[in-house]
Amino acid sequence: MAEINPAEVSAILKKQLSGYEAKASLNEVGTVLNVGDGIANVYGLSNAQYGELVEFESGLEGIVLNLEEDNVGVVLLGSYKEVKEGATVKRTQRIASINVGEGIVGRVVDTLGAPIDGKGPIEGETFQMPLERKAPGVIYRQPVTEPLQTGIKAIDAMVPIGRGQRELVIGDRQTGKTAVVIDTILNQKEFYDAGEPVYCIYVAIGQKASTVAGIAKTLEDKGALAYTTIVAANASDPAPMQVYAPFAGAAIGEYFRDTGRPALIVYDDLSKQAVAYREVSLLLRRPPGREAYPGDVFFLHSRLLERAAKVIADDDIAKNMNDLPEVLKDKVKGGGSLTALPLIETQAGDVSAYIPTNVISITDGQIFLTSDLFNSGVRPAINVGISVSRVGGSAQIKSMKKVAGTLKLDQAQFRELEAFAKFGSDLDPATLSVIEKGKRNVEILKQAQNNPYPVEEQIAIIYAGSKNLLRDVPVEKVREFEKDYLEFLNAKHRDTLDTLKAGKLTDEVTDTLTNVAKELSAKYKA
Amino acid sequence: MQGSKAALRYAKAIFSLAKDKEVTKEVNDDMVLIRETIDGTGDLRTFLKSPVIKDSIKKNALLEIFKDVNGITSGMFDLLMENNRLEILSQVAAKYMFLYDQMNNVQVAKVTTAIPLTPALETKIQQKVKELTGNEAKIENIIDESIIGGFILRVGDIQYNGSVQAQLNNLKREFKNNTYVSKI
Repeated sequence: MAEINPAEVSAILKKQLSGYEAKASLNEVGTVLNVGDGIANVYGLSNAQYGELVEFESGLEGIVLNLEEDNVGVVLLGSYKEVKEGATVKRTQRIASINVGEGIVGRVVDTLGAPIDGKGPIEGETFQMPLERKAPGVIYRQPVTEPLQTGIKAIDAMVPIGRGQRELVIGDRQTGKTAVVIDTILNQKEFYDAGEPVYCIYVAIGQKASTVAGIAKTLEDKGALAYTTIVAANASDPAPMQVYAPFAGAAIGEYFRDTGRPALIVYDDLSKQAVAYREVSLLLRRPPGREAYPGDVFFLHSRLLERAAKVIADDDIAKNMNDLPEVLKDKVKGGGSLTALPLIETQAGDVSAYIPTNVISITDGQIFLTSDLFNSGVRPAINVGISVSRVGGSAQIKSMKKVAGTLKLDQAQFRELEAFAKFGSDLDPATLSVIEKGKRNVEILKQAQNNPYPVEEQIAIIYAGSKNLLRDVPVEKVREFEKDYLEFLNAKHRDTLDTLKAGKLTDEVTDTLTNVAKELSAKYKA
Repeated sequence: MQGSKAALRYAKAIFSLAKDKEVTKEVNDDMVLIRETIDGTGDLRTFLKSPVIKDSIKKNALLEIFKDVNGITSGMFDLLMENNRLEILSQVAAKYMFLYDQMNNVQVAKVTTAIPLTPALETKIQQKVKELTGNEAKIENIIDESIIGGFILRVGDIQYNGSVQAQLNNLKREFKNNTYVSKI
């Protein structure tokens, strides 16, 4: 533990006291009738609104979720042991909201926006953003056109994601879902360094505090925390905090989106949020439906994911966007985006369960991770055959589109023929060549965790794979070859890579790539 | 507040009957008496609640205790007995008093203080309540030493908390809310 200087302690105490003023104000109050399981019924509070924050004597807050004839149902955002029957409850006149500003970047906050990383209060001007807000209407949006580079070869080549898209990451436990999204966040460092940051928000729902601390550390070590905000509602937090955590994250994302900047939000994961919501709903005595989830669990996820959008570039139209918070009105700019990567955990690969089917139908595509692939060493364990991106194709840069065009088809063919190869029978040369190429492509698509690839390097290596330039390299040496190849290109042909990055695939570039690949692969020839 | 909805229905019926017969004041006095007696006597509360004792015995006992009540009030005992609702008697009385006060534009203002209010202060509070709600106030003084000083005024759904305890609590919370301590 760090050394604490007594002078510092007094300074901190003084700072805290300076904000304190003895005030008594007129409040609308109610009385707690009964409390239990995180729900309190309150008599009175006759003017309370749905979704309003109320405050108990102990300072504990709650959200009004049930309005009945002579009492209101309040879900508690903390331990209900502090609340007693007969205690008074105060209205705050505040609909559940979170204070967002530039200072929130690089911080770890809870669902209500209170910092929990011990780095002091959020610095700078903050704006009150409501947790529940309507998604932008049709005329304030534009189609997805810019790519959101994930730095993962398999995704950027075959299931590309565009800014403003909602792409589901789905798979069993321990298949590397979190690894995929953390890599994506790490890959945005390139844009941060270039001065055009993609602001990232990582929402951890119902996870172990140690996991969240680990992720925060990874991000910090890799320099990614500088443009990332973590919203944490851990497993030990009350269910309502877990239900609202994604909404808090979305509110932060909207701040960047509506001020004309790109943002990326990761919901890790929505199955746990649905479980927390089920708990709250059942305690509020709302009728259970399929798998005991309440009837509006679809709406819960659809209204959340609809908030991901690519906002129209025209400032004048964007300024009139629906449901803008008053405080933000004069800061609105067009052209911002909020890309959402929700995660869903399946049980034994069952995608036909209630929550997975719901979220699959809401999102613009899904990245499917399977444990079979994971265990056979294909990592990231992306099942390319069933992963799709419904809108991202138009956001891919041209050079990548040209190079990766055939890759998905090649791999599909390979998977089909691979089954034959297992019989060990004699194969004709054409089939054999498809299988050999496929095996090398699988190797190319593998990559280590926390090691995103810049897009130009991805194109270079995929070009080599799809043009079958690796046929002389033994399968087990492909990764070694890849390393040499990219190192060589970076050292000697940086201009070629820059051309690729700019989206151009000229004859000159392809010649260089072919020559380098041929030259290097000769070394591996057995 | 179990049974409070039913109590309101009974109270409304009694009130409208009393209004027709122009005896609201008398019935209100009865209700005050009933409420005070029941709240003040634990035995009577237990007696009324007990499922073992027959309702007719309960009613007779009530008539014995509240001898000089208005005809409407004794009728209420009958009705409650018939409907097996004698246990909400005290709540019916409370709701009736509330309706009566409402009719007369009087509101109960609960003032919690550490030491008893002086008459001068009481008039001051009455004026303040009139300013806030537009109604006359009936002051109910609750003595609670745990609030240390100052006062808590509560009129209906509105509360003004000027107690020393509340301020100390706020201060305590301010200190507890330390953003320099990591919670992950």
